[in-house]
Amino acid sequence: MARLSSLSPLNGYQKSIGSINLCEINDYSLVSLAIPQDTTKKFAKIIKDEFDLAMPTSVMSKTDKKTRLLMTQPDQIFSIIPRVDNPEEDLSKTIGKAAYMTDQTDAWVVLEISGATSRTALERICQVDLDSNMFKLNAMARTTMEHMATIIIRTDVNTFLLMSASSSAKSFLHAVELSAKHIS
Amino acid sequence: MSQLFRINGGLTDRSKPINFTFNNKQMVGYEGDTLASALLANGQRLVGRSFKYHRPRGIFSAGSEEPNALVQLRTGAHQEPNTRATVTELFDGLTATSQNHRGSLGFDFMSVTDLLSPFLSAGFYYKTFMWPKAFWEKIYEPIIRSSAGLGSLSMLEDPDKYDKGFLHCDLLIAGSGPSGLTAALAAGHAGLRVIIADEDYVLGGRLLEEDHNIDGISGQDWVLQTLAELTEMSNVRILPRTTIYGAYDHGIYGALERKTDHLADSGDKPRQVLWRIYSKRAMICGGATERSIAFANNDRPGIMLAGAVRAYATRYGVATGNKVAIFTNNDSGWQTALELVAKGVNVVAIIDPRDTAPRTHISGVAMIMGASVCNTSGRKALSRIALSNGQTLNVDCLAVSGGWSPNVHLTCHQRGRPVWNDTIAGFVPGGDLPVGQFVAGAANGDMTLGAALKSGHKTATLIAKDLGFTTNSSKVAKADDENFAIKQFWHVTGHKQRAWIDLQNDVTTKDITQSQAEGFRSVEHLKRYTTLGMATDQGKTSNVLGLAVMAEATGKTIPETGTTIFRPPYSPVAIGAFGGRERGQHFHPTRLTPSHKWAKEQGAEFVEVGNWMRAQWFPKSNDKTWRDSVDREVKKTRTSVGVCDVSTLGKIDIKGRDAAEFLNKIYSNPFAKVPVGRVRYGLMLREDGICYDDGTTARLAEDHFVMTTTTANAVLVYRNMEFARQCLFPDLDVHLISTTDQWAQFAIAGPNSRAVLSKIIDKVDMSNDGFPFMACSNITVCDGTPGRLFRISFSGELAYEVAVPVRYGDALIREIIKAGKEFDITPYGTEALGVMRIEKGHVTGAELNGQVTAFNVNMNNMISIKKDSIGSVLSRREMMIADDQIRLVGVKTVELSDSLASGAHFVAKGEKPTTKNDQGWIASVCYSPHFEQHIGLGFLERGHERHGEIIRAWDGVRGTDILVEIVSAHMYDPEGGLQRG
Amino acid sequence: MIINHPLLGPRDANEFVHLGDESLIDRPDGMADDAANKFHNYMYLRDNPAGKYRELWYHDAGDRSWLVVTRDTLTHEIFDVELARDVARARGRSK
Repeated sequence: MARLSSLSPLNGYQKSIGSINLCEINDYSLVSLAIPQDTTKKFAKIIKDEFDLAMPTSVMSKTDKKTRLLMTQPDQIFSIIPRVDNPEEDLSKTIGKAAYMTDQTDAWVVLEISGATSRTALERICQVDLDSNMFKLNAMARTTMEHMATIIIRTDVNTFLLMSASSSAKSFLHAVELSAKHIS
Repeated sequence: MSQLFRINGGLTDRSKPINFTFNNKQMVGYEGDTLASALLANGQRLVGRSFKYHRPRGIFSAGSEEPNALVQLRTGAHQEPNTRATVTELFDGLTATSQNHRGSLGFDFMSVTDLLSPFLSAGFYYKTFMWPKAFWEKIYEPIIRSSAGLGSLSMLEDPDKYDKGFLHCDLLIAGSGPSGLTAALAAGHAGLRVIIADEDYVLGGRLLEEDHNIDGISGQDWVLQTLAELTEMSNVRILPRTTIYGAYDHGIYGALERKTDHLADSGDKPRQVLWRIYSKRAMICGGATERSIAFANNDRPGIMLAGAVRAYATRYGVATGNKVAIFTNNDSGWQTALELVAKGVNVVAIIDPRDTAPRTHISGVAMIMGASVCNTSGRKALSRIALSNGQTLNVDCLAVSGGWSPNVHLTCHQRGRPVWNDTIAGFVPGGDLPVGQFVAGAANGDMTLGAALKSGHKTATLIAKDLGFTTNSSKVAKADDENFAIKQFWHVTGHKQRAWIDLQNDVTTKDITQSQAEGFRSVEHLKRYTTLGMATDQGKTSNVLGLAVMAEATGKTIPETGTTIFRPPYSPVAIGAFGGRERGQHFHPTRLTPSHKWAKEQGAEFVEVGNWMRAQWFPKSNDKTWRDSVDREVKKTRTSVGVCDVSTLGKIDIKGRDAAEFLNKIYSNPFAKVPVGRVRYGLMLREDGICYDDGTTARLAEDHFVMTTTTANAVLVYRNMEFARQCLFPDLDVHLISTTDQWAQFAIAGPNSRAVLSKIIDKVDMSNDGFPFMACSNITVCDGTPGRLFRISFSGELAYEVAVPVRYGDALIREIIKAGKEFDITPYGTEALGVMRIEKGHVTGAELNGQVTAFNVNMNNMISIKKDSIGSVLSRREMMIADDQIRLVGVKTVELSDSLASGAHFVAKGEKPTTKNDQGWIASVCYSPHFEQHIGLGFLERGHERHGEIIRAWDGVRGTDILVEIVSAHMYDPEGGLQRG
Repeated sequence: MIINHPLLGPRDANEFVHLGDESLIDRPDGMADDAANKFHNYMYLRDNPAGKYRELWYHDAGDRSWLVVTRDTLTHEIFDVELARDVARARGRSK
């Protein structure tokens, strides 16, 4: 029997609107790591040893070229790693029992917005202050855009990753596209 | 008509003529004009009819305070009523029409109401139209509604786009007059993030409308120089055409930016953007608004505010008349006179009630001191004024200044009370400003230019220091302090004619004194009884005058009389702007199931379930009605196999050492000892003992459970569990994460479900012993894709639910259909799902409706008394488990041809359908293809003991009354052999 | 309104859901002898102060923290925002 083919929430969407570029990112796996009570130090050490990354904070993600860590709620960290088939299994090789793992790869849609006016477009839907002194490189926030829960991460001066629920991916894309159209 | 009233000077661009029409008359103005200035340049004095008496009215002001010049802009669906001509930026092709008249503007049939004015005084509709009572709704109100009022709506859907947005700053400055501009300069230089907003399309405030000198250059040049400097600063954002309309909690301000209203073509961009501005501090630099003086017939076209007359001459290069007189109780009127004369406008007289020497000498102008204007004449426009000294003057424009009222509106939006200042004769902001808000310039009572510049700079510097910025030595711009002395002279008495206070609502001095005589002593009552200060202008030019006349009538001072305060919005905001882009299908997000694309290809009918779109049924070409489809889907599933996307059910991953203990507290039935590899049905209560939600929870490892919730309650159950985890049991090692969007889950039900699944699933012993009822496991499907398998049944058949990560969902449903082809597998939608669960007697939201207990649904034995779980204590309250309570039952119609409706009440045969005789209700109904009749689930008093009884199902709403048989809720396969087989 | 989240800083109140009185943390022991009475009081009796009030808010569109917000019900002034989990522990709650 043929293996099941996969379909990303926006089917690899990519588009330029005015000076804004939008593109779906779907070459990653995402696993939530819940840190057992009273083991944060142990967990931080493993992160340091295995990924050579410091613990992320509630407002600042940590990244090297391969991995990005986000603290999404107290005691919960999202790790975004290159796409593998079974990321829970893959990560447990390194993290072992230092965290409870839940695959979240398919729960999210990730949209990258870039271009000189990306911030101006985001002003229409994002209530978080994206001023570069307030929201620095790799800063992250969990917030809401057009009534959809969203995680926003700054990856460059004018580049942001927007993560939202995969089931409403099309509504989310519409909200972002419309903002780009309204200002272009 | 050519622009006969255009004079030299001003800020309009004479090289750029603009064509527009007013009441279908072609006219020409210039770029930089408002509709009002262009109309005045063209000699159009009559622009509308008044609200109540249909009196001829002309342009009164030059700003957003305008009470008279309300027009309809554009045509068709784009038509917008009640637009103030004084703030409407002229553009090529603009069409405007006047409103509130029948017949032409010049001959309004409704002006007969003016003759009826003795019967239309304050509160007339409370008195005149009281009897006979029945006449109000049918006769009086419709007549009043159609004769009074303003513009009319197009009754078409608004085709314009609107948007919203969010801005952040250290300092928000509302208003770009002298104080706002100096504040922006000081704050900008200090490095604050500044937003400066002004409702006007040109920044500068009254510096555009009056001639002044600042730092040795003209006021207009100083504005240009300052704006150039601010534009260079990357930390300063300038928002013209933006009204700060409301001050909200914690430094949040509402702003409306008009993006394309001034363009002939919006280019498909939003017309307006509603901004939510988050500020650390805010400065209100909103200036002051001039007010009138009440005298007989002071409402004719040509009678205007003096500052407006000055603005039309100085900013727009328009003379508002050929023979202008000025009536002023303060020195600003004299400056107006000087400026008009300097611009070549013919000023014939200045009349000042103060009994002093003339304030200054103006050659060629009659300076009449100690006198007032006591009447006017001219049918559709002013032609003559009569003075208290017996003189009459032929004039076509009368400029009136009764003093200036600081614009304190935004200081009042959080119940701040302005206080009276006798020196300037106006209300100034009190001490109780919204947190973080400051006021400068004329809005704060700093009425001279020099003082406004100073207060703007000083306040901004203080704010910068307070926020920890270093302020450098940016210089304060300097200007002279002009005279602003005023006499508190409010109205001219000693006549029997009407003297207007509120032009927009046709409120006269008589209305004020009458309401006072009738006992309305509080200003708030005065406002509501007379309608003073209501409607689109919110009394910007009339409130203080009304208060002053009331104070005089009661023999009190103005501070003793008090003032009404202001609420948002400062000026009208279109409802469309509050709606923003969230209209039509974008009112809320839409969630799609993993099989949506496939279901659409099958021609499924969809239904909105919360935000989800779910397949409701899958029509086939032979189906004549939706019932044919649903019956077929049910029968096929019960006799062979069916498949349904159940991904919308809430799924929560629960992990941790204490996960089992946590679930034991959340669910009323025991969960601590559920073995790994097994699923258990769980019942969740509210703390008050009422049923909250139910679902199945699978234990995949010692420290790992997967909970399912109903689609509707997924978010709420998650929230409640977080509450229990963080607030009630903070030391339990348990972690939650929603996996609803991670898994594509399909129910495969029916006698052939095992056979279909066996073709898809890799290496699982699917025998009844190998994978029994309520088993669960991690598996792989289709040669290696990781997934999960649960043997659970909502339909009552042998059934499974198989789950894979969402990205494989589309491929999996296609594989399932392929594998099921030999069994003629049918996809089924939410309707068939509903039919099968009613046949089986499973409860859903229709039964667990927030009113019923576990006892009511015959599940009291699911509340463990050996442990403490949410809701268990209060579920045992006496009345909640009393014998005579309602119980869940099944119902079948006695006549096979009868149909049922949910909401019908149970009433005994022969009894009247009254509340007293009501024995319960029907919660869910369907046509059952299995029983070949309508069946339902309902709640009946002592229902568990009454199986076999015949009772009425009475439905007063639909007018039906039929006989039903009470049966067990478990109608289909009550022993459960099928699902276990 | 702006709620100054102890971990995230100032955030718009529209990201939060309001529940009510902080005393909902003090859930009685359901196995105690007088549990019925205690639960009645816990569920139904509340102070309704015009002024300072400690209440539970949930950062629904954010980090899912339950917070105890001390707010003036007349002016909306917010004096203090704490993680409810810390408050619960300080009030003696554990497992």
